[in-house]
Amino acid sequence: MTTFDSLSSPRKWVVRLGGGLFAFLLAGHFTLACLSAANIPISKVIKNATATKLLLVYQYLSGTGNNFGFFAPGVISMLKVSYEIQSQGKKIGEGVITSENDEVSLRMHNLTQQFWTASKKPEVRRSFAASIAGKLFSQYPRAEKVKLTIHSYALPSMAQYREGQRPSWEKNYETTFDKKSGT
Amino acid sequence: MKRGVKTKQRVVELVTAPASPLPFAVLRIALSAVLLVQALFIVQDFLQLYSPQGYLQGTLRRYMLAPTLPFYVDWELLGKLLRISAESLVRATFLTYIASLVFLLMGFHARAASVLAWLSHFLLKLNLGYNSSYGVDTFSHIALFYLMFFPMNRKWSLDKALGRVSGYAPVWSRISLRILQLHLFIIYFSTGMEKFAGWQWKTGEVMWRAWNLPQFRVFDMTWLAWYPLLAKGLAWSTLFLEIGYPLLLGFKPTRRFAALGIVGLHVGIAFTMHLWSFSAVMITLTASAFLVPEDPLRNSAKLISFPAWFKYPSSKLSG
Repeated sequence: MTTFDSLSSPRKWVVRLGGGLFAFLLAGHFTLACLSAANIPISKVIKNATATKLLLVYQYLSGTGNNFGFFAPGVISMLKVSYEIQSQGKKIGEGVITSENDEVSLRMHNLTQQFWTASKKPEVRRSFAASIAGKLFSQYPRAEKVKLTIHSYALPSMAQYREGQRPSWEKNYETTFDKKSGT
Repeated sequence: MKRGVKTKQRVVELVTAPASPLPFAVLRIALSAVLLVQALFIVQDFLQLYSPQGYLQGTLRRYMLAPTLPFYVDWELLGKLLRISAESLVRATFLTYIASLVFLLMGFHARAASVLAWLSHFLLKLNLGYNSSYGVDTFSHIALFYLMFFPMNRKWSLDKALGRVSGYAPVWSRISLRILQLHLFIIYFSTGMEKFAGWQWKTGEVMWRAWNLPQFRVFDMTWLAWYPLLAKGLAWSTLFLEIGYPLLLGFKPTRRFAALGIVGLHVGIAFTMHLWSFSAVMITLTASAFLVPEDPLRNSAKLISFPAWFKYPSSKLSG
């Protein structure tokens, strides 16, 4: 087996240079991982816009751009998107945007949680709701109207629960889409 | 010997001492198996989640994601360029993802398979499906990225069986192991610190909320309200394991028990919150980095090793 000591002098230098370059790149990789784990934006450290953009792309591709604040600093409340389908003034369907399958349900839940962020931008919230309504119109061809209601879950604290308060769904937002009028 | 030279020697040994590629074989097989099972669960609904005819219709996805992400692949535009529908593109990417995971699981053309698995996973889950992604996608992405470079097909693979690769990569195996371990140190420490900053973790309220929100509720855990100290204890145990991860797993005497503690934590999450794939991926990461023997001379059939004093004495068995 070839060992480092058995290499000729120029080859030793090539190995040393290669090792040095690798160590440098690895240090950069972990510096980026630490920065994003600590929620420090690259733009605060590097002022050059092109370099910042390139590093952001690298972080995104390599997974060094994540911070790991799962359930941190705490568990936020959840939203529920329910719908009612109407045709000729009658209710022909109703349900909640979720799934029986745990894996899909988690993903759908994350999708519907976008209403939290969208609540600050009414036009995005309306477009998001219209998108879900569009999906429901395609699932129910006879539907004329789709009513979407968004509830948030109000969970009392442990102390409040002991005192008798109970969890409840609170209405956040409601909107109706009419196929005929296009609104 | 001078102290500086000794320290340098120890550092060099820490990162280059020969190691077995077995931990990466375990990582490759377990990760691709978990992701394949996860894909089978998603298969019926993946168009709802990822296609432009799903819950995020038309250009809304681009409108919501393009300002958030460093770059966004516009599937509608790409479809127009390639003269196929965006939905067909999504289907083709999903099929590529599944096929590459099967190849990766078998260790057949594993290097190419790992590149395709990483790329298709990234495109589907973290670009197109960013809005619906959660922790499991983040950690799978990190693991798939490293698998592209790690010596993961040097054991328990068709590549090895067919003589396409040797079963020997001692220095690269050690360096790869240290890279994986270091990234796990960063992940657990930072997540622990972020949790520590929140009042819910300090009071234990977080356990109450996590177990009683309809999204995660599996069992009726409302009884916990009368045992706030238990909730607090569980929250603080999690903080201890996560913040202490680098020390507990970096330090040899505590490594195995801390790693088993982390495995226990994720088993608990899996059963009480039904975060199955997330827990399986996290267990895979910690187990392959810290529980699978990396000593190149050790019998690879013994996957998880325990300290000698933990085993039943052989003299008692024979006598």
